[in-house]
Amino acid sequence: MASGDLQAHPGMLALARESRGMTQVDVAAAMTKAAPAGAAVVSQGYVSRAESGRLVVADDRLQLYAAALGYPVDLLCLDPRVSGVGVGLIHHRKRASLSSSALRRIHAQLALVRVQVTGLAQAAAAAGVPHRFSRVLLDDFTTAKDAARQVRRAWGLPRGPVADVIAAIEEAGGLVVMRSLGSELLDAVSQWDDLQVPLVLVNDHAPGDRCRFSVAHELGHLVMHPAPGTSSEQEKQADAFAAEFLMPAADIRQAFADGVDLARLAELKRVWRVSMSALLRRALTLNAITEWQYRTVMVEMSALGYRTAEPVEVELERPTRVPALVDTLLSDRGLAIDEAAACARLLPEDFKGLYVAVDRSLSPEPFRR
Amino acid sequence: MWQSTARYPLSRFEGEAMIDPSAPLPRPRSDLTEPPDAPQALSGALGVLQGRMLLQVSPARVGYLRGQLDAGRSGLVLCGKNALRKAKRLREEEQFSGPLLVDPAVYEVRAASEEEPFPPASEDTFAFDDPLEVSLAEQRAVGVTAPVTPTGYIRAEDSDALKAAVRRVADLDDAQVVFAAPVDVGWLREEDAVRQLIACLRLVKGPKAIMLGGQMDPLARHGRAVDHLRRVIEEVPGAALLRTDLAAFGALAAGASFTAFGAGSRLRHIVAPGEKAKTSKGFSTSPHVLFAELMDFFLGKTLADRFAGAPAPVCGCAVCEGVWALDEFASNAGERPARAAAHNVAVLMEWLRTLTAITPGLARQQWWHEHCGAAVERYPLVNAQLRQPDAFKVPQQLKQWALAAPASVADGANGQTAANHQRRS
Repeated sequence: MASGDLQAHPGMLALARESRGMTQVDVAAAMTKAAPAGAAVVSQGYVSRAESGRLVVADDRLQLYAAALGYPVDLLCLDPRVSGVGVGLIHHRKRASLSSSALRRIHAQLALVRVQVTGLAQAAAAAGVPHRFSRVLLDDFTTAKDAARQVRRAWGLPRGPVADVIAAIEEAGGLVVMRSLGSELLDAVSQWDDLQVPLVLVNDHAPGDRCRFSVAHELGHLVMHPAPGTSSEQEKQADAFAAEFLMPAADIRQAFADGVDLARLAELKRVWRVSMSALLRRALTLNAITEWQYRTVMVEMSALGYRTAEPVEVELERPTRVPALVDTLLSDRGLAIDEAAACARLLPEDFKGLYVAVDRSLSPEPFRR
Repeated sequence: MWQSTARYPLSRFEGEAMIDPSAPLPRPRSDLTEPPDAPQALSGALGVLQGRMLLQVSPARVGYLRGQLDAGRSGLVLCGKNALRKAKRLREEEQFSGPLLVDPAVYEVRAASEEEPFPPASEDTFAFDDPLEVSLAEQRAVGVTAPVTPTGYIRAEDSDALKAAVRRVADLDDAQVVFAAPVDVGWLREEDAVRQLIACLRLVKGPKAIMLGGQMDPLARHGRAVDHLRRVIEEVPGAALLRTDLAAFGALAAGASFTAFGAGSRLRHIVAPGEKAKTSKGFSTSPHVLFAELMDFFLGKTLADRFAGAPAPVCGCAVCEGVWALDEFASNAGERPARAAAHNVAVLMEWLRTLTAITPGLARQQWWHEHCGAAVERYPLVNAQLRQPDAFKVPQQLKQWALAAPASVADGANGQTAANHQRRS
């Protein structure tokens, strides 16, 4: 299609704007600023009409729109529904105080990450790898903890701690992308519409132990929740899933067989790579410790300030599958940065910041599959 | 769906696609406004157990309390070493014709697992013997009213073990077998675990004998344990509660098919295999005595100490006959242990007669609720009389029963509160 035939898709205009955390007024101002001197001022009303499909955005205005948002023109022309980015249930592990606009921004980022990694996978000819995710239907007989056990079994995870949760998801064919999400109030978001590969976007701000729990929590959502439900109920189920996935009942019962104190708890944190408070809570739920033991240790933890900052640092897990795709394109296929960026429908600077500068330096291992 | 790794591929537990369409499914309980099913009447030989509160007792102590058993409302569950031999003797030599069960109590030494829900109690069992079948046959041979399954301890959240046990008993297709469900009280902690327990137990045809595991008083471990237990009893037809304490009455009031009160602190709860049961200090120096007014057991020595400076209550039960006071069990000397055991049973039988004289349903629950409430209110009065503010502390479980008002009473109270709020505004 010649560039003159291109026209923006209204849905993508809104999605791209939200991914940048911009208001319609911000976009109008950025377009005005980017326009040649003497051009007419772009109004918020114009942006509103463009996003609702009441006017066509093409030619110079499309170029201007793309410049204002910092995306390539062809991204704005994608139909989010056809590209599978605007559909599907999105789950997130967040704190209640996260504003709805910040949440919209992160959801939009997730949608665009889907576009980016799909483009990278296609270019690296890695598309179509079958994944090993299946839904587990919850009912009176099957709880979230049963679902976690089923996943561990189906993925062949051995007894004991999960060595690397992100690696486990990637080895099962899921995609994980880690980056700063611009807020400390949200740990991770995930999406799987049954048609594409399950995707988890993880905020890199959290300590390693918390990050493992968040990713396992998202895995629970992916496996158990194909449809929206009572939000608090689904969150509780995802937490229960993560608890059993990371701390299987049989192992934890044994781990606490000789009682508990702070030193023992710190030692268990090193082994299980989950927070001390999560371990303690799990032991209580399993009746492996008494309520009195639980309270005693919690009081000690509070007194030492461990409720806000725990000792024993757990190393942050990093995804390797997407960095390996980037590696394939840049090293094996010899693509230039701007060519690889075009595959991801990003501008070269953006691509470098999101996928090269961070990921390649952190995760130089090749794609394992 | 995940592929089932269980031995039974057409499992009812692995989601919709794996449901055997011919199997009777439990009624979904998602609509909590629906009334629970009517209590299941026990059939055949088991019918004799209906509505009874048995006594769970070690064979050596049967003699202490047999004389106090109410023949029409009670019976025996023998438990421990020599239980089978004692059962045989009771039937063949001691003319005991009342309801009689033998609890194999395998849960004391072995935990259930997905592979072995009914594990052999000892290593000397031949590998080719099925522990379940052997145990049921042994019990039948000594003339029990119905055999009880030799289930291993079902740890909190171990749904694989629970499902395996349920599956195996459901396969027996014998409503005359009592399925023992020795579950850790962790099963009563959270809603989804309670739902799962209910769903699994409902798949068993015959009576389901729940026993609760945990140190000291398992029901005191979680704030909602009593509520959740009541819900299990109400929603599982044929549910029974064995090897328990006060909860035997609470469960009976809630519609349990039958219950068994433990005649001895060790027999009022179970503990996980490998754990040593914790006991109160001075356990071996004096017998446990039921203080009826306070609805709790105390060591005879404790009662004697507390009432050292005040007249102790004189008990009017069928054993004490208004002659013996509660401070007369300070040691294990002479006949005191036997007399204490008999006193305890006599008081329990009085409560049982009162409870069973009331129409089953709400009225029974109401009576139990009020009985517990009255006992809770007695504590400060007794302490005040003794001038010892902390002489006796209300047990956590008793508080929970006193708070667990029957549904319609609670609704009425809520309605009253709402009306009051309206008036104030």
